Amino acid sequence: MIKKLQTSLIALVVSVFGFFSVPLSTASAADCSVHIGDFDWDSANIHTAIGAYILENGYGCDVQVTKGSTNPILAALIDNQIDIIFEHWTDNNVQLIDPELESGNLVFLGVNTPASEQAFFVDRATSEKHNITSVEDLAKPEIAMLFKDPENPEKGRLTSCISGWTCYTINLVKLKEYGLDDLYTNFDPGSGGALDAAIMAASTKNQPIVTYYWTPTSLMGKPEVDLVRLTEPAYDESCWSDMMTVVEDIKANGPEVYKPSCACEYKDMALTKLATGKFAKEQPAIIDFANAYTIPTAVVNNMLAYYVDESGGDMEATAMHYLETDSSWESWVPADVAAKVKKSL
Amino acid sequence: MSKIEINNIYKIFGPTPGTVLENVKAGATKEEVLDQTGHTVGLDNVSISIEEGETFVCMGLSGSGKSTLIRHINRLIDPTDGEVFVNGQNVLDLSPEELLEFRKKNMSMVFQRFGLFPHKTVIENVAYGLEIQQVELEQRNKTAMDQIDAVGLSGFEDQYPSQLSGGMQQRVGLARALATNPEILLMDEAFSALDPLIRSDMQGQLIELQSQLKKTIVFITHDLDESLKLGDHIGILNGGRLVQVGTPEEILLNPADDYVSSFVGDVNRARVLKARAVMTKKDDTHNGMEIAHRANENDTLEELLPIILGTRSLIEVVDNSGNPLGYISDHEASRLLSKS
Amino acid sequence: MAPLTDTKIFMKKIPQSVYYAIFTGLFGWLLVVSFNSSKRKPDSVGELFTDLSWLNNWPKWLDTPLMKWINDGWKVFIAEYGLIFDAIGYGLLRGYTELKQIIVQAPWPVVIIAVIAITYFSSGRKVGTTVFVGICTFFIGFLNPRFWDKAIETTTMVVLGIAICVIIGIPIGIAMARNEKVRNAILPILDLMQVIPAFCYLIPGIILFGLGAIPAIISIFIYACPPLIRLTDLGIRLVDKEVIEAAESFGASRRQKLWGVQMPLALPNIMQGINQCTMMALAMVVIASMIGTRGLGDEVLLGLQQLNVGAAIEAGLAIVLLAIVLDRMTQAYGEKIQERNQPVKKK
Repeated sequence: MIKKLQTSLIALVVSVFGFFSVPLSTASAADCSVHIGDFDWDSANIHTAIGAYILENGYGCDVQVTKGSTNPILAALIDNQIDIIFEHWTDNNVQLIDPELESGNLVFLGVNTPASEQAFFVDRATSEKHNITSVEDLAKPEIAMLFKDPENPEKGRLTSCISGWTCYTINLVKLKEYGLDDLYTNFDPGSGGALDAAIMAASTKNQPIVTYYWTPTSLMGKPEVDLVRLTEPAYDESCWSDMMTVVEDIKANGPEVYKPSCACEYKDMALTKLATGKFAKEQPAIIDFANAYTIPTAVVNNMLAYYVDESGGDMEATAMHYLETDSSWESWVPADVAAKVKKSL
Repeated sequence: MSKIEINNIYKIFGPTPGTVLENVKAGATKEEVLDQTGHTVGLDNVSISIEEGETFVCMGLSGSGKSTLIRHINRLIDPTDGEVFVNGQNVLDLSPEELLEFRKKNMSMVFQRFGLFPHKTVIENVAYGLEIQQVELEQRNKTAMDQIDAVGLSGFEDQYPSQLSGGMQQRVGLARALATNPEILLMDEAFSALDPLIRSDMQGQLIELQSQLKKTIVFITHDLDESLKLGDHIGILNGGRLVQVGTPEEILLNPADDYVSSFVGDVNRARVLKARAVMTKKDDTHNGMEIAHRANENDTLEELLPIILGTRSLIEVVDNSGNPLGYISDHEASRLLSKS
Repeated sequence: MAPLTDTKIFMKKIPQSVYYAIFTGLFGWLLVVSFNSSKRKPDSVGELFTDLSWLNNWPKWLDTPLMKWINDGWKVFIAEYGLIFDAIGYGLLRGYTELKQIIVQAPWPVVIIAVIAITYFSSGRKVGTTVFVGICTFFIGFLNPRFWDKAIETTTMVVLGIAICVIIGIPIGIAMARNEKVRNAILPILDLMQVIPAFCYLIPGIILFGLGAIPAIISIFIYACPPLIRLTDLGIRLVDKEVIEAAESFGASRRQKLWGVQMPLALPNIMQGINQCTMMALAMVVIASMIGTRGLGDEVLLGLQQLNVGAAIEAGLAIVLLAIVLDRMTQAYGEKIQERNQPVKKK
């Protein structure tokens, strides 16, 4: 019964977010149709845009894109309502995805970006003034008051992830593990856009802020934004795994089930891709392409800068810019597909 | 100068009345102006003098301009051209603050659909004029209660207008107008929304009130019988123009044009004509004839008819002190009762 | 007396054709500026005539640089006026936190009793409505204990938002009712405020006021004030003309007329406006959860994001209950006045 409700909620969410969905193709007689899952942050958007462009113009597929947050999109993928995602933050969702990989419901498609980072950041001015360089430095009450939460004035505010991202719960556990729980609120900004806006606001107004953030992103490339990464206990495989068990437990059953375990920094992980086993069987050619798809971090950062500065927020234009200026993508696809893509540019 | 003087008032409704004024002064009719310029002529060169203590009735059909005219007196409407004097004061010269004072002190208005404030009780309505003048609460309630008693609505002072019948509401309106003790009463078709019996009642009450209070009343109506009953002088408006001004008898006996004639054609003359107007003045030809009855100059012909027809003698007409003024015989009666 | 109509004649004589010329000129200028500032424009204007491919898809150079202008202007705006907004935000925040603290710290039965008392008296002692409202209030906490404080947060925001709407909106409505020109100037602005998508002012709100309750309150004002303004304007204009003339004929000044006659008689419509304002404020508070505003809205969002069906529906129900409570409280008062002001009828 709950499973059925879950499925219908997933369907509802996917169709509501499907309002954002962009039928990119009016092409005829597609013998392949692909349903791509996109997320609500820009690095995922750019990979989806490039992938969709190649699929549509090179392979002549009927492409449908649905955008959403981590939870709904991954759930849809597991449920096979979505065929493929072009970016996956592997270690954040290990507990959720591993069983699916083992059972063959989902398949790994290799790395898309070799390196990424996730961490807590503090604005440079405050970091230098008060010598804040690690999370241990945050543990002092007077430091917490620098980041006073206006709605909860006894605590400082850690501008965290939105509740739809796994890192929200991860940060919740980390705060407890680092002993910061009494000093800081794990503040959910409500949406990705709001998070970016909050950081921009603090940066332009020179106000102190301590926040979760990640690369590759366009925000980190902006001139006004100057954040310093805080060090945490070094990454350790078993520590992370223990922590993720607690995280998954909390996600399923609420914050009351928290048990002390362990916490360490986010690994600078490689970002991967996922597809359903079913799709992999039906469209091996596309799977080969997707497997081969990979872009170095520096290039991703450049493209994101282009997206913000040059293209004026046009993802498709940014994708086309990449395809026009960088030729590494030609090695991912057969020659005839490459030719078609080049022609359409 | 008369109490109220209205001199050559023109009122034109539309976006640019000034441009049309010349046409109207040159003599264009209402229809011509409407056709050519899309403006409506409300009043066309109307001049009236109203004496203190008299009841002046302004009569006409819808669109004749009578409602527009009465609103010039308290300057709810400004004329396009012309002047209005009240108590010798040119109303159009008043500054906004002076105008408010002017309205508070000199005149009150009674409206066709009563114009009562639905959110105020009867006593609050009646006391409204005094409230505007910032009279103390106790004082104004006392004055208001007096008026409420005077119009026979004691016991209803805490009710809301929506709880009263039409006749009662208009009595509240009247009480409200009288509470500020104004010299001038403006009554805009005050009884037109009432049913006939109540209307008759109210007319009677007004006449009685007037005989005691002697206010200057400007009364608007479209009902000829009402005008003839209430008015000391009557002004007839047609299409914005003043067609005739005169006493009821003058209007009846000497209609100025076909329009007025057709108006008065159906009136029951006997009810209106008073002995004074019908009689032949006292002279020597009547000496020695038998007098069947002495009538007061204000008695109507209707009251005297049975006596005239029954006795075939003379009726002597006397004034209030008893001095003989003239005589009426069947000769005068038949002359005046026949339609001309 | 010389009529004041001569100026009007002059205004009329600036013919329509001059206005048309001005607008066409502006349009042409916009086309040229867009073309020149576009990065995708063809190398020469002549190309437009030789290569007609731009007729197929909307050409990339036919793109107003509005986004760039707004972004540039925005940066300047924040630099100049940022402090003012900080001050406003701080003031609102103090008000919000104080009010919230008072109600949150009161024992919950006291709050329920207060709600019941308010409903009872404002509805004119209607028992049925009062009992219904009492039950709904109770159920907000009964659904989930966490919702009680959250409902108070939401209500505080809504109340503050409505207070701002009333303070600013009713005078605007009055001004519109009095003056046709003011009315014509403001109506398009009201349309804009109601139609513009919420995120267009939510995100700038974050930059000006920070995350949380304050941009939500400002957004409530933008979204929920227009119906109140419209209904105030309507209410005043609908007051019986004869009643107004009566007031004037007794020498009432503009102020006496407004407060003694027009406002009391417009009150049913104004209360309706406040009721609409409340409902729309509640809707906005839920949308504002997407910029980190706490309250019942963020419970719904949480349920949605974490695919917790039960939680989302429960929170949604709590919002419905809150809406019913607020709606009944404001409607009841309006109905009471309405009954008293019923049109004059003959017996």
